[in-house]
Amino acid sequence: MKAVLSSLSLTVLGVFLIGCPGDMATNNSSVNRPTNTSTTVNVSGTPKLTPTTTTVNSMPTNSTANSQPANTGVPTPLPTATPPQVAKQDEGQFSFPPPRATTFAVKPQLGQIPLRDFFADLEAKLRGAGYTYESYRHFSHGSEFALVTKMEQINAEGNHLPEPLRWSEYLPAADGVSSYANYLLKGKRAYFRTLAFVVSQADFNPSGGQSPAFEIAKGWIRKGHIIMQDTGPGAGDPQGTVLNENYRCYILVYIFEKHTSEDSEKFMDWFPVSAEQQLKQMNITF
Amino acid sequence: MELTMGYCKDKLLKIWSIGFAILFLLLIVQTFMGKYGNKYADVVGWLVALTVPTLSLMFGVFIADKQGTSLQEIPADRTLYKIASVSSLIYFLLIYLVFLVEPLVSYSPFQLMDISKPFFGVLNGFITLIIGYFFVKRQT
Repeated sequence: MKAVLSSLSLTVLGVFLIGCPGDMATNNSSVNRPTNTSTTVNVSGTPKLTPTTTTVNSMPTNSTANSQPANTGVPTPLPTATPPQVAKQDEGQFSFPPPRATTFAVKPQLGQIPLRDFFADLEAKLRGAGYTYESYRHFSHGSEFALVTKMEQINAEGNHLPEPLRWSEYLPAADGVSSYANYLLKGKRAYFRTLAFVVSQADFNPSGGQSPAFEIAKGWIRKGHIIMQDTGPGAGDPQGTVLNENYRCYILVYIFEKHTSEDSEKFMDWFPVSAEQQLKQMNITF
Repeated sequence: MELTMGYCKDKLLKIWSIGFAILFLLLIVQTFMGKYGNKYADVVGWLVALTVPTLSLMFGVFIADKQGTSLQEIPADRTLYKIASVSSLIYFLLIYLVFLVEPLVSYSPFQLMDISKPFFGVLNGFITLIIGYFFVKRQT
């Protein structure tokens, strides 16, 4: 009798503990929400800079220096200049030179075509692949231009998921016996992709530099322009910038992976399907 | 036929032991296959909180039986026993559903466990009370 009563009291204590707020809520409720931890990744590194961007770098202004309290006796640390790529990424802009890509392809020697025509043609191809006007944005910096697509969800074969899952961050549900068994035992795994078509004369290594944080790459769509801003050498002319054989088009593919056991999306340094193959699957050819 | 406490005790202990063992085994397999990453302790904690208190009650009765205060031949309350066994089965079925439905929905396992935790807490309290009352009542 005593043993039963003691077991019962232990049980009541256990039930009371279940009712107490656990750690699980704080640990795991952020599965589909943005986290701040990943945004600091880009700020800490030192990216590779090209001559065009280094000239933009500014020294601390006088107003900043004057705002310091005088005669405090405490030496104030000098403000450090932020490299332009880091600063741009910090603002959520697509930076030049671009951040490190998961996989890329290059189309060399674009030929004598107006920049506007090039992008008009590219936009038409993108619309054919399901990207609406709301699914891509333009960035420009001097004679470098980029068209960046909205973050979309893809499968392990590099094909985008059917809408509306394509544009959402919800992890896909199982659609067959094998995927059910896989999800049940190994967990769900989702991939997110952003494409960047960068037209530039500059020679840069797309697999070098800092990888972008997921939240920053996701935010590119909110920071860019709907219409291409021609800031190139011929920007003032009626014809605008005309590309030549010195221009190349870098197709940069940024892929992030999300697993149910992780709180945030991870940048993938490698993806089994190449950039060229992914473009081919979308019928985007140059 | 008259139900004895020995029979009811064995049946309830079987329901809870087998139900827990299968879940625990599934959890071990999932953990080794990397489903929960470093958060496997959260899932184990969730399962332990939902099952171990009642299981310990069962084993308490089992130990008491072995210590000489035998319940074997004492007649049992049939209605209480039915409520206890059916609610235990439904309870385990619902816990299994959390694991089995998760691949079919967009929620992560942690989100589902978070959502279900308060409901299971209430259910578990109710079932434990019934089982505890069932054993205590017949002994007195």
